[in-house]
Amino acid sequence: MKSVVMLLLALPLLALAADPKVVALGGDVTEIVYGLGAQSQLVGRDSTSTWPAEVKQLPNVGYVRQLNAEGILSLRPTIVLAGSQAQPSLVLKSVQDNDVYMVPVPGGYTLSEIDKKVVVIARALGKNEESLALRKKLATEIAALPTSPLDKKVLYILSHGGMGTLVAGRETAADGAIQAAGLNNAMQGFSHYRAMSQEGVIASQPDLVLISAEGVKHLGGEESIWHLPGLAQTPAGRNKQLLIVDEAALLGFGLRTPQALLELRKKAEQLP
Amino acid sequence: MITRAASRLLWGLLLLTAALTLFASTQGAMDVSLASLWYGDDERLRQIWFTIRLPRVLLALLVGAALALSGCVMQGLFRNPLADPGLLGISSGAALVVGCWLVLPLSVPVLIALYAPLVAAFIGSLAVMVVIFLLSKTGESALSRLLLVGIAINALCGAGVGVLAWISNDAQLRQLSQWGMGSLGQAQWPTLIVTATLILPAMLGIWRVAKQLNFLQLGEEEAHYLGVDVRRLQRRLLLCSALLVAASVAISGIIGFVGLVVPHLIRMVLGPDHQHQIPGSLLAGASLLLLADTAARTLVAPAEMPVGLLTSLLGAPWFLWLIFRQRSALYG
Amino acid sequence: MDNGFIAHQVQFMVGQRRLVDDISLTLPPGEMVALIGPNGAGKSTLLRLLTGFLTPSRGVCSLAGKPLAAWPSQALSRYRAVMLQHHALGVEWAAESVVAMGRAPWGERHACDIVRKVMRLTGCETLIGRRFVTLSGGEQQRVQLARSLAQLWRNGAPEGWLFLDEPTSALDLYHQQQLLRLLKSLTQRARLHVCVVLHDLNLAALWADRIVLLHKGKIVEQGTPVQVLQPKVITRWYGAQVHVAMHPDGQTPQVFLCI
Repeated sequence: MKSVVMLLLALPLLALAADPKVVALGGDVTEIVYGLGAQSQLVGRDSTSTWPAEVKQLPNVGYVRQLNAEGILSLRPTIVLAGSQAQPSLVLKSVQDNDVYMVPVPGGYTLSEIDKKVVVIARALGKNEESLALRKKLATEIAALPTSPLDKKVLYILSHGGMGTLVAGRETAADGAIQAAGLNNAMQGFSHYRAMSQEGVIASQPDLVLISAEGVKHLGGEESIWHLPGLAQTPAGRNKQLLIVDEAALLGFGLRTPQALLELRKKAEQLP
Repeated sequence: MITRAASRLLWGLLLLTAALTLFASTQGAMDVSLASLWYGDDERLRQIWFTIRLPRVLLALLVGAALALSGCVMQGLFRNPLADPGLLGISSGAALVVGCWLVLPLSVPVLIALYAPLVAAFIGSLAVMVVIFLLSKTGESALSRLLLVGIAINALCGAGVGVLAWISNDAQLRQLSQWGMGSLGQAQWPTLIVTATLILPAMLGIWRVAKQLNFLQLGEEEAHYLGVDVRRLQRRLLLCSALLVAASVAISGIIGFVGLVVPHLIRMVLGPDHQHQIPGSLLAGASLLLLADTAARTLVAPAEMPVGLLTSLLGAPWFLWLIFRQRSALYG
Repeated sequence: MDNGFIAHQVQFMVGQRRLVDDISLTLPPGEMVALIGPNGAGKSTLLRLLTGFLTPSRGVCSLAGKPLAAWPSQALSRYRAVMLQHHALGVEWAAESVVAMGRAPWGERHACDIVRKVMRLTGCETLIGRRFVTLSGGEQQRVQLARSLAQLWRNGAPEGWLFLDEPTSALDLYHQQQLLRLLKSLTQRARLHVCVVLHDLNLAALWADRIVLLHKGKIVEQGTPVQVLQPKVITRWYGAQVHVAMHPDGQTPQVFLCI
């Protein structure tokens, strides 16, 4: 008798859980939702969620670091998966205060963080079974990544317009990615992003240049990259060693990152 | 003494503001009509409207009024139609401290982190206010000295923000520049009430010396001979205006244009008497920002645009039209 | 207000320079006093010390026995008004609104009656409704005079001390005559007392009861026009060569520059 009562009581909860409406904030978060096969639960996403292509059909609640409460609530979500970049926290609190289950998803620039993100998201969406398979796949991909240090220096160039051309130092996603691939960041001695200086670039002697597709477009094509200060006098510049990457895939530390890292490693191994 | 014509115009402005408020409260990412609020049984909708949209509409009125009034006071105090609230460097000071908060690594308890940007902006504004207060206490020609100090503060804080940009990462940078474009997205009842407790007394403080501000237009010396305590009046106006700006910038970032152009527009329409200009600027500023914010949160819903961009887009053509109309009246 | 304005051993320094050096001066009621002197003599500075805008570095200025610093500013403004030479007005006020501002120390709700009377008195009734910025220099000065008189208006006429700094500088001949005649007649009714800084010695001689000649911050001559306007005196303090002859209308001396 007791168990029947318990089951009856649990039914409404099951009903709620059966039809959750989810808003994903953060490109990495969205990737994982798709990876878990939970995309049917999505009712909204942020502007940095661009993969896979079909996610663009969903309503866009704005830039992840400048959200507004009413926009998110207008989609009537029951769950909001908030990546580490979601701001402002007051807005998230407003949303939470209006009967929405707010799930903070951890951030970080190491491969082990990806697994943690999958665990958190899976638990929130009730996709624990699917998560096991996904995590296994993730672990295999990460294991396939050669971890032996390769003495090659990589320079990550950021060119988004408005701020000029910047290079990535320590404590950036780019630095994390480069190190995860067993390579060295050519730029040492400073944190975050800095403007390119001719001397600095020459002194760092990178073997390989990394840049995003948008960055290339913004600079006006591949050839213009080699005209950037100092590059001509580096091994990368002399041998025109360039890898164009999908920035969200490589730096997002989501599901696509292990693959992207593998590509990076392969390219580095082929360097003269 | 408020003349009949000005009184009619002011009543008109009041009605316009009230109508806009009603309109704005029905617009937004969520589909809400006044009927559904009153008669409908969707409790959740009503709650969202009450806790999120209503405070935002009220905040737009409050901040718009505050910025416009601050500009009006600056223009009267410096007797220069090009003066605006940012003259004394308060918004720059706020931007610098907010930038520091965004960029420098500081771990704080979660509750503080929630309100940290607001508090940071207010601290920055407060620091500049203290400088202004100390400077306004002493000496002759305090106003011109203050202007120069404002220029220096603006330059210094701008350079400071530049340094922060240099050491920040891409994401923090973008966040700082977003803040610089203004947003009313942090409106909630607690923050609204705190902002109101700062802004409303400052407004009252200015309204009570409206007549004296008129006398100041004759010149500092002339006003002195009419019995006005010029130093005290200037200090009061400076502080009230600074408080208006500080509170506004803290909650909504930097929203330009309202403080410069609204008082200018009002002066053209209502005349030089501050007993008309003050209520006029309040109402016009409130309406302008409300309209801009409504557009900001509906044009690209469920996302939103920075409201500072929209105030310029909305206000500038209007202003140009008025200038040309005024010119032809002078020479025509 | 019987004692009038008194300056006692007043000194005013800016840095090391003594703009006003140990001046003692009394402005009793019922007199029109003219302050004259070459450029840089300290006339305007002395005026500002007497009116209370500047505080002397040494000595004290007082009215009715009370030092100016002890007077509450609103009360003082009901007894003394000042008309300055340069007007920093770029605003759109109407002429009558400018005059109405003179009633500031009195705090009345409607001053239209007084404003009208004063503007009629000063001959600028025709300027009612005109914007101040559109007036000529002379018209603006007449409106400012009207404002100062409005400030002192009490029981149907201006009463108190009126200080003027070069009020005739932008006026044409006709209005110079009108202004000074008006001031004189108001003084003669013994309710308005005038202290005016004048550049033009002849105007001072024609209308002032007493002339005070300043030179480098000190009072060097004081007395009736006949006493002060003598060729030796003028040449000594101004440096110019002059003839002095009597005005055809009366016994006032007039100064003529030698060619």
